[in-house]
Amino acid sequence: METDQKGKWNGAELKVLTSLLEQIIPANPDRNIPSAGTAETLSYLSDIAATDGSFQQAARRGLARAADLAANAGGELDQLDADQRVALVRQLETIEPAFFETLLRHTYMGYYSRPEIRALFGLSAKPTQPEGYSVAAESIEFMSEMTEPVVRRGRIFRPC
Amino acid sequence: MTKEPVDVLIIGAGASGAAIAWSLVETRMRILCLEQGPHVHDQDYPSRNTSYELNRYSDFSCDPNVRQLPQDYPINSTGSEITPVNFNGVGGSTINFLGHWPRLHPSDFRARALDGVAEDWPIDYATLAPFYDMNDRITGVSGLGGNPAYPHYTPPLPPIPIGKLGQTLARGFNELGWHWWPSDVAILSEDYDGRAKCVNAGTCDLGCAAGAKGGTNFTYWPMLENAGVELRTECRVREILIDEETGFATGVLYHGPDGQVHEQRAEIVVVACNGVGTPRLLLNSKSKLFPDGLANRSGQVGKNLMFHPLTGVTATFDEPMEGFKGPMACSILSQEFYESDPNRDFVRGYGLHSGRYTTPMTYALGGYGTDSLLPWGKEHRQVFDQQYPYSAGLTVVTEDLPEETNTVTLDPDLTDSDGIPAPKIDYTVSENTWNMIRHGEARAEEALLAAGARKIVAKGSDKVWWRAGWHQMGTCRMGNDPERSVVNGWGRSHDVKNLFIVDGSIFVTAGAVNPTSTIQALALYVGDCIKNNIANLFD
Repeated sequence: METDQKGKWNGAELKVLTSLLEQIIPANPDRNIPSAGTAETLSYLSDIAATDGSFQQAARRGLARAADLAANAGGELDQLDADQRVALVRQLETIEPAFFETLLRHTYMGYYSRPEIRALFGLSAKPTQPEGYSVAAESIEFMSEMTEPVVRRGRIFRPC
Repeated sequence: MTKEPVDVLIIGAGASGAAIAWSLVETRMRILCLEQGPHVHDQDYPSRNTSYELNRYSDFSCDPNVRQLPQDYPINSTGSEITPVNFNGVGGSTINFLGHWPRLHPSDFRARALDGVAEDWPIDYATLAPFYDMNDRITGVSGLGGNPAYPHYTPPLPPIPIGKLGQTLARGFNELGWHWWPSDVAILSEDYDGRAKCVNAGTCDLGCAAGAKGGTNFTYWPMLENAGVELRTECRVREILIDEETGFATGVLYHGPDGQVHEQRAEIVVVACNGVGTPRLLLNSKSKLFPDGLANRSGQVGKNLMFHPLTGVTATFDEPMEGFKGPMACSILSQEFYESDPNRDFVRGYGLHSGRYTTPMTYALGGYGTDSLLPWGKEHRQVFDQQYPYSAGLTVVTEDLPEETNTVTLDPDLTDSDGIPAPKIDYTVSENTWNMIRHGEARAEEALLAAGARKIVAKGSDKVWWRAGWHQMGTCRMGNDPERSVVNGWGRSHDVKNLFIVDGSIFVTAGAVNPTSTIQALALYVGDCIKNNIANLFD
């Protein structure tokens, strides 16, 4: 299994990678949160592979290993049942730990850098500047009431 | 190439370089500052980009070994439990610092006298207090006056909102009868001095594009450049030159943006490169007179490196804590366990800092300052759906004691892009600190549960946070004894009478608070001493 060119996955690799990403960050259909196995995260990983030859090599080897493990389990990764897929990914994590950790890191970065994903967790999809967020300032009365027990105890530093 | 001589040459345009320049500008001396980084324009800050979180792991990482920009020097920290972090540019690390602004306590200046450890400072809190106040006014500090953990002072601006997270944790501290207080912050709660107030963006580490955070690029430097202080950027000092006959510093050699080495002569040289950069420069400035590095007859240059070792405890609550809103590291601070207590198995103390929470990517990668990936699969889904929005935590910020074995030296092989030897860090967290950390984690857990946490989801391991060497102190410490210190009680080298150091390296002890307000107060104090002693400065 070989990539066609830098950062471009061939069809078989793409299929395995997509399945892996779906396992790494699964979807939550109840909240319309997609899995990581979408075009945007794949595109991010392609960009990384295009600039980082060692990742591309490790990915090629790791994806081939995952395909072999799936074949031994009776088919392609996306054809296995849910428990089998999880077991296979755990196996891959054990036998290719360096690749798997790198894949995990890049997957998290690619997935959570997407503005629409941030927005699903209550953050703004926009850059944080210039708008930021609205946070109400506490009133003087409220802060006085909150700090009153602390003030009542008196000084806690050592004079010297 | 030789440039026209100046009266005062300051090396470094960060927190301390800017403050001492401001102090000296009224003397009308010709002041030049050499900064190895460029101007970093606020319109280029990542917080204006949609994918801003990615910059935290590339060109705006706090770790120079990750950024690897031309102005950065590499740091070999393979022998350390904490790696130093910084930023190089006009404003230095105040560009990406988090703006937390507590002062040292009076007892921090008297650790030897009070607790029998470390050394006493040659100055005290009362001496620095007016300079803290002055710096707070220039920087625009927000906070609540009357904190019983300190002699009375009142920050110039009201506190920033502590938010839902801060209010929740404050109730927990009150439940236990423990001290807490809204954090003093170098972040504007109101429009101030031509700068707009904070918009609660929550990404202070990526540069505050609004200028609400008191980086010296927004506070001191605009005033200084208007006043005629010359700032030369992308100029990296290679070594400080010495007159072998007089023993005085004569200036520096530096690499300019043209790729050439230049000589700059000066009457007074001020080093402001902080706790790693300053000893590195002195150790790189060897001569016949100073074969072990400039101003190092005591052998103390590069020794006694102190950080603030950190760990954290995280809990989940029943309601969303909205931790991504508001200044990133500043909400409330407890100093209940700051002062020594003979009933504990450690000396000195620590603070419990309530930062807010961070953005999803950083949360997935283990949090700010750590590299510990969240689990994948079903557990990942659970963490993000059931934990992330409901999270709040406390960071245990411990006082580090000076140890001669914790050092900055020169790496025999590693160099920066100009071929200048890079620093090597050897640093081990002490048993005293570990005892503090264990105590602090247990107290943090108590406070979180008292605040209504439904579950403690993470607490420290057997390691302190790795990428947490923001506070670099002690490597050229002050003192009255030339055998045990590098500079005197007003920042002047014991060995070289026209060489001053004004950054975190001159700290004698570290306290358990973020050091920038003290660094700048010290720089203003040293500047004041220079002015007061100008007639016999070199005696």
